[in-house]
Amino acid sequence: MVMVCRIFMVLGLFVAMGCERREPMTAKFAREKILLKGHGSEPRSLDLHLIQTTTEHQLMMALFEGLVNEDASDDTKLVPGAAESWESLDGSQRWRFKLRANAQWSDGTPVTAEDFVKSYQRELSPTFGALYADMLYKLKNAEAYHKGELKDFGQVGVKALDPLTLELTLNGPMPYFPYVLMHFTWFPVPLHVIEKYGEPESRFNQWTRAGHLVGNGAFQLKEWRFKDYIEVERNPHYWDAAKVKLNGVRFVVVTDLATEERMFRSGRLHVTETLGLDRIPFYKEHFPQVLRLNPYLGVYFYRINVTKPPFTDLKVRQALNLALDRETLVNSTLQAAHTPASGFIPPMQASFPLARPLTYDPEKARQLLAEAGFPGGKGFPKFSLHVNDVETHVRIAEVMQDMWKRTLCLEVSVRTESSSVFYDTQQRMDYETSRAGWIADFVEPISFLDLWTTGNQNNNTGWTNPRFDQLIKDSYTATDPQARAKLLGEADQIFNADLPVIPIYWYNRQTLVHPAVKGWGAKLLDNHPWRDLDLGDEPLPDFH
Amino acid sequence: MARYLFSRLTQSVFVLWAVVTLAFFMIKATPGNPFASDKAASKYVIEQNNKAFGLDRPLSEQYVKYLGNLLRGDLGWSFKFEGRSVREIIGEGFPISLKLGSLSLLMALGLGVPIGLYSAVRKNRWQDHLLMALAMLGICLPTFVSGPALAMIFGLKLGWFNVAGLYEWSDWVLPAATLGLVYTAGFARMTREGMLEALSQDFIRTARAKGVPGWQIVVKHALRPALLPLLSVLGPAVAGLVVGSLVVETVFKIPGLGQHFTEAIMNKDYSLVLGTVAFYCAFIVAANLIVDVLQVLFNPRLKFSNE
Repeated sequence: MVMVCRIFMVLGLFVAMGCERREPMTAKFAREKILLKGHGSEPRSLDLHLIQTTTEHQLMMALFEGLVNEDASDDTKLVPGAAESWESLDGSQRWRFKLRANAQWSDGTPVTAEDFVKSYQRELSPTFGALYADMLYKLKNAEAYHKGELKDFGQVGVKALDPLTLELTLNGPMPYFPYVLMHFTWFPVPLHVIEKYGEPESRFNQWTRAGHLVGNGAFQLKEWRFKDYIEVERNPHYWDAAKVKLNGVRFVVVTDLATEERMFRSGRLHVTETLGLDRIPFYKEHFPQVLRLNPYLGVYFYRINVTKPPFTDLKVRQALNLALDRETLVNSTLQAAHTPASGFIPPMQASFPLARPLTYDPEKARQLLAEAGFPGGKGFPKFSLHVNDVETHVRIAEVMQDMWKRTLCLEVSVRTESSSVFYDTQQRMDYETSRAGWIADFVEPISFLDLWTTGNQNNNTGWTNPRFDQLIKDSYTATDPQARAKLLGEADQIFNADLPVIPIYWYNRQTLVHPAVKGWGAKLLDNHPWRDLDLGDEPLPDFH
Repeated sequence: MARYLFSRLTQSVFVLWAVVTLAFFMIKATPGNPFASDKAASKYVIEQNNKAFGLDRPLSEQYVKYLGNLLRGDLGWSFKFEGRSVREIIGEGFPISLKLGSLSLLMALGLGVPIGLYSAVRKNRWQDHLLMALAMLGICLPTFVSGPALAMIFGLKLGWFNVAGLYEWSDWVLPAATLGLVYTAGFARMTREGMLEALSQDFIRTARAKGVPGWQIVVKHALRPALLPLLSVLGPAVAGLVVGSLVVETVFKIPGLGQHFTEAIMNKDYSLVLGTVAFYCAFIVAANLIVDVLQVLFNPRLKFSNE
């Protein structure tokens, strides 16, 4: 017994050594003006040409800057970035950008028009495999060069007229082109640095490491601890460095929702990447001052494989759609964190007329199913809801399964796969109905529509409609904003009427934000320009 | 002993080859694609990527190339984390997992063995029942429950420790305790059984008859045979502890090796899967070999079979 007592005494002493409530890391970092931001999973890379996700985009906004910049609070506005001004020529088919004379890379080298030309050449290289290269297909001849059909990059629509003038020629007129440029695929990479650390088109080039990476953003890479955090610090060579308020941002890799929330509550994060849905009611009730629930330009939906009978029949798709009570689903399963979708495109611009055809009508659903030859669900083949094995997705699928069973008497199973298998299966169209989400690349309705054109790699439903394709094509060349909105509005109506997908809800972004953080506005794409954020000395509410 | 070691080492190489070969063909046979994501890259881009990573070559050619590289100690490049070699990923994660595993092991041995011994000496009294009930609880409590519970109580409520991350010495306490708890409980039960078995042996009765004091019997005569069962499970336990734990690493946000085992499979990161499998296999083989040698040295009734 004596021995056991001694062991516990030693343990007690050990514990007592750490026995005081420590100062939150957020307070210390706020004094140093370093923002602690939850970042989700480890980024694939810090090479702009090898990333894909929206979180990676957010990180890249600290290190690099495109020709134009995001406005701190208004998504429909943009502010000059690496270019100080621009003009459109030939009815917005040709764009000329005047770069800043004082724009520099973080190593002090000037940012020139040639840097953009070389960046786009690397991204479009037929051998490199840049994951998002098709964003640049808007440039004249870019697609042909990328696919190796055209050998001479000189014929692609990007030219450096002089060191500070960049000219981009597009396939057709595009009045909203500057908004497209906010996407990371259009940011420049420093070829003069990349070449130092290996072949520019080698996938194993080491230029993105701390100490090597050079960017043109408001911040530069300070430290990269794999699977732990990426810290950026103020870039003294940034053209607008005097206006940057923060001294740095630490992007903390944290994949577990509960761990991230504990880190926030114990003062180890200023802003979380997200918040578990089940925790929303708690914060709504007790600490609404730290909870942000802002509209996020994305839609959660189910693809329908329209090449597989009986889903080839529009009435079947309509019946499935009308049998879903989205209101109940969102309020009960999703803690009302999102907005039930009444169309595919979420609200974004007052000028864009939204289709509103999606309602809940079980009676009509049963009638349509009967008209399709399946009265009371009789004879309808058993099919599955295909989801990746994430708890929320499975939960939603189970609710849908139940609604279809109760309203239409259909036998539906839930088929789960891990993500890398799931997306592969979906892209091979080996499914009947399959879960999906779509976040806009820029704030324009076209970002939700052009993926449904025939042959688009993101279509994956087998749906094709010549009228829809034509409308999208016409919208590319329509210069009058109202005429464009009309064309896209009609395309949207065709899409919602033909239902190759069943929209479920429009996203909101749920985040915990420390009261000390200044300037965290509601942004439709959740892209917050780090250079405009600041930290004050407000403490966390007392969670204990 | 030299012959024994040589034969065991030859067997180990064969085991390693068999495991890597099996893993290679199994992971290639699973569906999925390392470049598949929510926003689909075009078929053309996927082909470019397959080519860049050599996935466009026939499977047999990929296998021969992989084995050749492996012999040179080259584990290849990660498919998921661009520009990082598998050797670097393991090299960064392993020291952290090793340290965490060693701390947990120290805790498990330092607490588990004395508790087991004490329980055995107090057999069937209330102390024994209490300690063994606690040990059973420790075994039954999975780390995904005990980890968050410790973080909530000692991190969030009391504020004694940080809830996640490894930046100060005290940050090691909660994850090591979580991981160590399961093994402490297991070791305690095993030590108790071993000691009870040892105490019922004839030579102990002889020692008692000769009037050797009780504590001397336990420490001098019974302890060595009592620890033998524990020693035999120590090999796999050490290997399991030091290559990391997905749950503890996720709950406490630790950049260790454990998470790569599962994540790499989920991500279809072929080279990282194979690298971690080969590494883990080599580790288990080595740990078992060391334990086998130690057992012979500890137990006079055993001999190296090749001699």
